[in-house]
Amino acid sequence: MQVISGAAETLPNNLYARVAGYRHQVFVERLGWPLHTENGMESDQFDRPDTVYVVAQDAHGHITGCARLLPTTGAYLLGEVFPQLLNGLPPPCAPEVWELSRFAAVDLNSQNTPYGQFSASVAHKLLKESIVCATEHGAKRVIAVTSVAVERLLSRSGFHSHRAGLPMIADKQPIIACWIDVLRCE
Amino acid sequence: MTLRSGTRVAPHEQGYLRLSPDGHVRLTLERFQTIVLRHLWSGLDPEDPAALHEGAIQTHITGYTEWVSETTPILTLGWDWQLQGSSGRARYLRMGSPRTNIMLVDAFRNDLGGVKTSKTLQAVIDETDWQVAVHRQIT
Repeated sequence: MQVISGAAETLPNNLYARVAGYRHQVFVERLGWPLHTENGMESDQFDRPDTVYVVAQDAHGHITGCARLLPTTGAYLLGEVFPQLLNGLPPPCAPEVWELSRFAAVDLNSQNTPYGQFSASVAHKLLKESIVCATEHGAKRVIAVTSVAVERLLSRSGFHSHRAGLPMIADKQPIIACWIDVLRCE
Repeated sequence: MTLRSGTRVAPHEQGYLRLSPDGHVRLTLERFQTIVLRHLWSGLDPEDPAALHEGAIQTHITGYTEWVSETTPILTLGWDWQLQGSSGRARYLRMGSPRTNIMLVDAFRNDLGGVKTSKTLQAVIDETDWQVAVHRQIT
């Protein structure tokens, strides 16, 4: 498995378009999230030129996971759409705080993707690489907006995190915001 | 901590309870033990497609459960469970560490730390009767 990261225009071989297609397959087709899609690709207002993507690929180049990193100094998912996940605190706005969202680790070519269609091994490496990537962009803290299923998987994988607030149901999916301990990232 | 499913809670108790900028709600164990947690929801895990593909029989039913306080700020506590059968009786057992925004502090308001807080919460969970609410929701 290899992991590539960067802004959309820096990703090789039209990879960003394939990531958008992968996100459509995972979040829209598999998980049933009612997200904005166009021509089989999922993207939203937070997919901007300064957005950083982290992409996992298998030996054949098939995408097996993805994540999206956004600085909290601009508009980002938690601050704009889900501030209610923060237990009453204002959304963070600091160059050293980055948001991780649209995290998926699904091998669409494998039958063996238990636990809510997430692969633990891919998820572990992808998250680790995502945090490294965020720190390279100046992050000292990472806050994730994700499904409770992913939060559970990361907890079982040994990542240290704590919740920013209570979980809530959004479009029939339990979601949560959680702070990931960058310093203790394994 | 007291667990209660589907009912309103008692008025707030006095004591240290503070939401910190890092998202943790800091409180003492004594304060925590006065707070009633309400069952939010519980869920079953999907079956393991690999096991089914191989013709195996799934031996464990697993899932998760979520509890919240009605304090301000809100405490959230979720944990995984496994249904195990022995001697003709099924038991729900907590699995692993709870996922929470709680950070327990000592009398001087110093953090107990993530590990000690987790172990303390695990012990408290295991002493409470959360299984009824889970069973009621998933059956």
